[in-house]
Amino acid sequence: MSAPTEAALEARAVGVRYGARAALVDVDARVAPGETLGVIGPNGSGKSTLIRVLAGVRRPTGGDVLLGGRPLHAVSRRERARTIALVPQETHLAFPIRVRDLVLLGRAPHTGRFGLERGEDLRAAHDAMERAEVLELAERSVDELSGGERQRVVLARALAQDARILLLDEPTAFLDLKHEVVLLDLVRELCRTRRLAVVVVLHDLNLAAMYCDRLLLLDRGRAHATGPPDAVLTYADLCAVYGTELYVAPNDVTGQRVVLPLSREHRERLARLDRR
Amino acid sequence: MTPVATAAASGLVPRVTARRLLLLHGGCAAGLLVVVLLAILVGPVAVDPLAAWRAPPDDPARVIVFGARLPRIVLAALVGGALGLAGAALQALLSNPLACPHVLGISGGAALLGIVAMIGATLPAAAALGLGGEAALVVVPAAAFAGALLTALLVQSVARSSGRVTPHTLLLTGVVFNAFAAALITFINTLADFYRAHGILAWVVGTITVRGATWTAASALTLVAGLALLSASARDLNALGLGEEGATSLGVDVVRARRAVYVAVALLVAGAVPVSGMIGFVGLIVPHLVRLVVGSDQRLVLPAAMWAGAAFLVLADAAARTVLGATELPVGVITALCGGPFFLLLLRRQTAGALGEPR
Repeated sequence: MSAPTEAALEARAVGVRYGARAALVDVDARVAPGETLGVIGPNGSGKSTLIRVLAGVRRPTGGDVLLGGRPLHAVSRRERARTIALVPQETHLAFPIRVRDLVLLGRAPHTGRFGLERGEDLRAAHDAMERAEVLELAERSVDELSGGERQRVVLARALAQDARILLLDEPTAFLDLKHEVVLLDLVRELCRTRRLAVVVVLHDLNLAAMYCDRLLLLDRGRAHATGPPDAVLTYADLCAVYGTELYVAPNDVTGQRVVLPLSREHRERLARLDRR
Repeated sequence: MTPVATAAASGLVPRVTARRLLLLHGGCAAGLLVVVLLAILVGPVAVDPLAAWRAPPDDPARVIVFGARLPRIVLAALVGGALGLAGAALQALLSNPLACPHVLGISGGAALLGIVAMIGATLPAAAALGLGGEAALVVVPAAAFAGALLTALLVQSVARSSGRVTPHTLLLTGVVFNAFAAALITFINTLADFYRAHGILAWVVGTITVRGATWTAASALTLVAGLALLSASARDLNALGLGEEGATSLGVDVVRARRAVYVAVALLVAGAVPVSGMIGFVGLIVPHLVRLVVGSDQRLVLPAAMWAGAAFLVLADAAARTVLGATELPVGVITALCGGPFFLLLLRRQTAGALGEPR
């Protein structure tokens, strides 16, 4: 493995408590420019909370988040928003707006008090739409878009922020197979060509294996394992964390791990085979 | 190459520029002027404004146009502008198309404390403290401002405490608070025997009450202050359309933005309520009509809602002055008659899941 480069964003022993419940306990995470960190784990393991903490949207109750070595809470809101962009699972809009106007909202941290866009803001929004392949949708209303188009528009909004760090919270949760790969291919390419530091929460472990350089496996708010996908996606770790019998094996096409859940029928058959 | 030319070359044309905002204000002001001129002509007595302009000061036509109709029309425009602007700001802040100062009870809170201050100012004790008479000009709007702000905070805390901001909880709170405020106002009026002197309808149903040039100037001042504050919040309100977390991730200080909007709304309501009572539905209807024309960009919606609200209330007031001949109708009756069915229509659309459902 190459020597660790300077972390763009780093969480050091962060903890988050919601009242009496601990959502995150002493979690370390770091991501470098040009690297994609995947955050995986069962429901309620703290994946979204970690993304919120890294985005500076939620302040941790313990530990530190460092942006280029500086504590994130000491960075001004505007500067933070120019550096870190967040793509949520779903984007709700109170009032219907056009694609171009949603993307231009990404320029908010770059514009003045009255929010009047300058030439460079319009160019940045244009470039972002081009990169996210939504330029032809510019004048459409966001309401009319399909789920896949919508997520690419939200990605364009994040890109328009000109941020060096891109955080995505289950961006493919509501997408079908094709649109999952279209979106993640785009993110992968941006990570490589523009050396963005990417942290992505993924529910689908197979996508995580394929698109991430490193994985962080969370279990009930704690980091269970971290490292390259092959080191994290092990049969023993995954079965323990997810609490169910799984099928884990390399696949012939990508050479990466493939993880399948097993039905009760199959689990029972497996158990009978084991006994023999 | 100018920035605009490069932007055009790359396919994106700016929607909102300083020049366009000025044009919007100028165009709307011209439109309002036309409406005002029309409203001057309307009334039980036919007058020729031009002849009135040239007539001597004691000429009856001149007195009707410049002494009676124009001050009332100007005040209606200021009140309507304040209500339209406040409604647009609240709808954007709460991401709730059914919000307006009246529905949320903010007007009720302002009326309640305003009327307490107004009655208080007539008491001998107030005069002894130097708070009676002319000082009422400061005391009443200040009390109305306090009432509006306190109600806004109450609304906010109800919205927060339920964990999730459910639009209907918010509206129910407002409706209940309004009924409560109206009952208290009636009670206080009856107790103080104030009823005979000022008329309860002026406060509870809402009617344009010209109290004098200084009161009108105070309304104008709060309107300008509210517009300035909200124009500087338009960018934040646009970002809040993405929800609180979305706005925070775009660098918006949500707490500060919310505070600025509530202070602006309270200022606007405090300027309007002491001279018009609780006029409903202007702040509800006008922003919807405006969004149909200019879209959802708050940088355009807010100023346009102000001008459209002004024009709407000038017309509604002209109707209130004339539909029953010599008998005058409170303008709140007209706006409620227009607004009630409109509100039900919106509510139906909203419950159908079109807009603003809880997340």
